[in-house]
Amino acid sequence: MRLFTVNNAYIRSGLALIVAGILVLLSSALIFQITWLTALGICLLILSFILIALGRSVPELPPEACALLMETGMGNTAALIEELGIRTKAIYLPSSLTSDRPQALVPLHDQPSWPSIRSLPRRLVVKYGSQPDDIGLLITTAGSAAVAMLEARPAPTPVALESSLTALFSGRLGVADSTSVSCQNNHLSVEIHRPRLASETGWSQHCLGGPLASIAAALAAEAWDRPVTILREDSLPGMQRVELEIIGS
Amino acid sequence: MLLFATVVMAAAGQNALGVYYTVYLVLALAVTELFVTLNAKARQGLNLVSLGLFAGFLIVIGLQVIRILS
Repeated sequence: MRLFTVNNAYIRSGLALIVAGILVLLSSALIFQITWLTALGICLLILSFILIALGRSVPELPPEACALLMETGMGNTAALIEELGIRTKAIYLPSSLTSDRPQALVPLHDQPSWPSIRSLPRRLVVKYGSQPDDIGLLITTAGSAAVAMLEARPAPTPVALESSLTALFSGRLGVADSTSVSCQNNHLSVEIHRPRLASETGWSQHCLGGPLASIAAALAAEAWDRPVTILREDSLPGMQRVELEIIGS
Repeated sequence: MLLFATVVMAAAGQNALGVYYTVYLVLALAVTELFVTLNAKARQGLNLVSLGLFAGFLIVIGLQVIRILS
């Protein structure tokens, strides 16, 4: 079993501190007999263990490679949506309505009212209603993958959603400082503080929302186990506000 | 913080190694609990470190008890 790779600044620093700590500890305990120097050796050893523990959480894939993969995937999705001339807003579906993970349904035609969506097959083009025009694209978004990173499915409360979003954005992905969520009837207001992932403008963004809004919508859909759509997305100084609507009764 | 604590205690003339270790343990537990509670992998690794440090603390207490009794 491989515990960690040495190709990591935390691990390298930790190993260097172990060597330094042992040398200081042994020289002090055996030769100099100075208490504070012995304590310094112990201190270095403790720091080295903490650094090695933290080093295990650093991803092996460089951020540049992740950005490359993300831009490729988002570029292909944007090209598909723009080429088909889709103007409707995506509906984020929970995993109970898709095959295994939350996905976004992009209806090809605008609907005055959304039909009741039943479990959809694992295909790109799906028929989600009884009418001939009820056809849409079922696509994987950033939110689909992000939900899998959570340890547990969030409870259908604003507090639980806020906690999960903060854990994801701040602790896991490092793309924002914190979030706050408020709920009024079927409307959720998500405020993302100090976002570090900008939303681009374009038809695909209008349809699917920005990456952070997409993740928030996917998590909300999974928490409430109901379809969710992004009503609005505003970029304010130091904050991004996303208005979500939970569809259905 | 640990290094700063070492400097402060050394300047104060502290000579008991057990005191140094106890302060390190408290600082390490506090800092790791405050700053790294969100990443599951980091938390798992730091829990192991905390467990090791606590085992060391028990040894320090055991040595003190033996010293007092003897």
